[in-house]
Amino acid sequence: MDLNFQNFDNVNSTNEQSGAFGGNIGDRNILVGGSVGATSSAAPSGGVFDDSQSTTSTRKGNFFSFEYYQQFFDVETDQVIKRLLNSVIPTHRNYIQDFLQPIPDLWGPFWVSVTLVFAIGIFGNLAQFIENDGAKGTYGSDFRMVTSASTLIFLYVVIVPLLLYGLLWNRRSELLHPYVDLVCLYGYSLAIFIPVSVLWIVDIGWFRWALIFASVGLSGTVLARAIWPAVQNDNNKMIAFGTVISVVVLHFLLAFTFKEFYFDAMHPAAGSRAPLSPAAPAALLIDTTTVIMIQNATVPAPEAPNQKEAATNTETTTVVAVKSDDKKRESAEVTKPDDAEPSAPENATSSPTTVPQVRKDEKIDQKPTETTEKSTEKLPAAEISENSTEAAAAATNSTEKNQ
Amino acid sequence: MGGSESKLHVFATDSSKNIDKLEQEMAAEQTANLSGNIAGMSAPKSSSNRRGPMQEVDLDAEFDTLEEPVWDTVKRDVLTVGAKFTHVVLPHGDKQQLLRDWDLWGPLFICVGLALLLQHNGGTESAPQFTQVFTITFFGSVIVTANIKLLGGNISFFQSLCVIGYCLLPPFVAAVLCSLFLHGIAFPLRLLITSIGFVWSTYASMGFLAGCQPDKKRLLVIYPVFLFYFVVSWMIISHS
Repeated sequence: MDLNFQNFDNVNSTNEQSGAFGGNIGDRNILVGGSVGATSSAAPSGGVFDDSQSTTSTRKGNFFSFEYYQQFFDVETDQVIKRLLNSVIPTHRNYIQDFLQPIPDLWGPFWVSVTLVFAIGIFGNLAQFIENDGAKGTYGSDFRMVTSASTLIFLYVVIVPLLLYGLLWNRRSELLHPYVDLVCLYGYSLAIFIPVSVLWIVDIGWFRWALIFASVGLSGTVLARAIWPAVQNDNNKMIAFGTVISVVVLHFLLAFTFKEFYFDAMHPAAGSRAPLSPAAPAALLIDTTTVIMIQNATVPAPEAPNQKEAATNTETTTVVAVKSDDKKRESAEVTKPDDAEPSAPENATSSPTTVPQVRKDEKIDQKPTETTEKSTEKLPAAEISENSTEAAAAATNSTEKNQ
Repeated sequence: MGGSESKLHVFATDSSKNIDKLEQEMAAEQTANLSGNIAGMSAPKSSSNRRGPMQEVDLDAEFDTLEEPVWDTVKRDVLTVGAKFTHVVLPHGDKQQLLRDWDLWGPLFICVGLALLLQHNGGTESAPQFTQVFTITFFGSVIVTANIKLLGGNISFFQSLCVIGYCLLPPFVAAVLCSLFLHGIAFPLRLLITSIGFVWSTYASMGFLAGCQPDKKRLLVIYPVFLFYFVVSWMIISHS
């Protein structure tokens, strides 16, 4: 206390001197006073726990002051290390209640995010460099990787906890964690992707996928365990389970985005690699092959397949132009090098609106004398569309043709 | 409690000493021939003895500084900047004294020079733009400085900015060597030079900043500085 008093005396003596001289000394005294004030305000927060709590509650209202954010950086090295380790090693303990509370910090979320941005930027470029066997002039998009990665990561760390907080608030959860706790949880959950981005330099498809599932499995488990107590008492169990599943799925989508857009997207031979690395197009191919076999068995006329192929080619182009879904585009691009037949049943099953067009084309193409085929085709059209309007339209068309 | 109070006292004393030192240095430059002022400066540092000579010295200093040639002012600033660069390369003497006489000329020159060097290498399509390099180096310094302030460091904002900026000198020298003499060739040698610059700058900055934090938070201060110099070194090695 005496030292503080002497400190104040020094400030006073300096102010007395300023009265005798010009503005320069006065300006310096203002700087000194400001810095001393800031320093003295930091001292009480380091004092008794109760005092720091009251100080924190007092300062929470002043959102635009420097001291407001300083409370979230009042953390020590061993605390940060413990939080980092427990964010990648799932345990039976709750991450928020056992490791973040009572005082969450923003040092870890911020610097883990910054480290991840530059890790992805640097090692993504390194992976590209190795991919091109050290050829020069292939560093064309290095800084776009850094800027886009920073945008993606900081949006993830800021917006996803905000959505989760809004959901918990909307459902009036008993354990409504503060927003800072959720940001801290999500920030530390990104720590596992820093070593993973180093290992992603190894250009082996299944190894990269294994790293995705391992990292998402570990940190996703920590996230799910931390969030489950807040939603398990919800009246609607679907929302409770849906929330936890959404949390893990978003985490997986983040890792998938890193892999696809920063480590695989730079492959110059992306077309040849695409059919191999994803598993979904292969499944689609199998399903489409089965559908093709069924349709081939049901079609009696030998000339009809040729006409159908022509029609399906046109429809494939139309569907590709119309739809903006990335998955559909990827699957269409995958199947384009092969025969056009596999895409036709897929389009027919995925979009009911194209079914009447197919039927109309077939009716126009086929001979009018085949009345029995028309009657058989009407029933499948009605079943597939399940729409009275379309059925009425088909009936009207058949009536017109009869006339 | 005792430690924090003594630190507060030392910090206030350092601040007042900072002003006194600036005034005395100006007086020394202008009125070196006056034996009275020299004796005043060499006197023991007590407040009662310091006030008397200070008043006389300040009047003379202000009067003479206004009329000195611009070249003398520029020369004095250049010598000060050079002294700081020398201290980064070969740490010696009083670090606190150097921290009190902070300036931002060195950081500005290094940021601009580094941005210009990296911009003109490797053609326009692959090199980073001037704004990108300048933004990362300058605002990276600002963010690292904000981190130190948020952790409760007893160092002013501009002092920290000054230290981090001046300690960019080794990477800057590495960038000059790699760009002018080893452009596009001898990757292992460029990697070695850049690594030496990176280690040197990190070590030099730790010498200044490590003493401003309690032991429990030292790693939280050092890691962002390490990351900052690592990113700068990566930009140098990959665009030179």
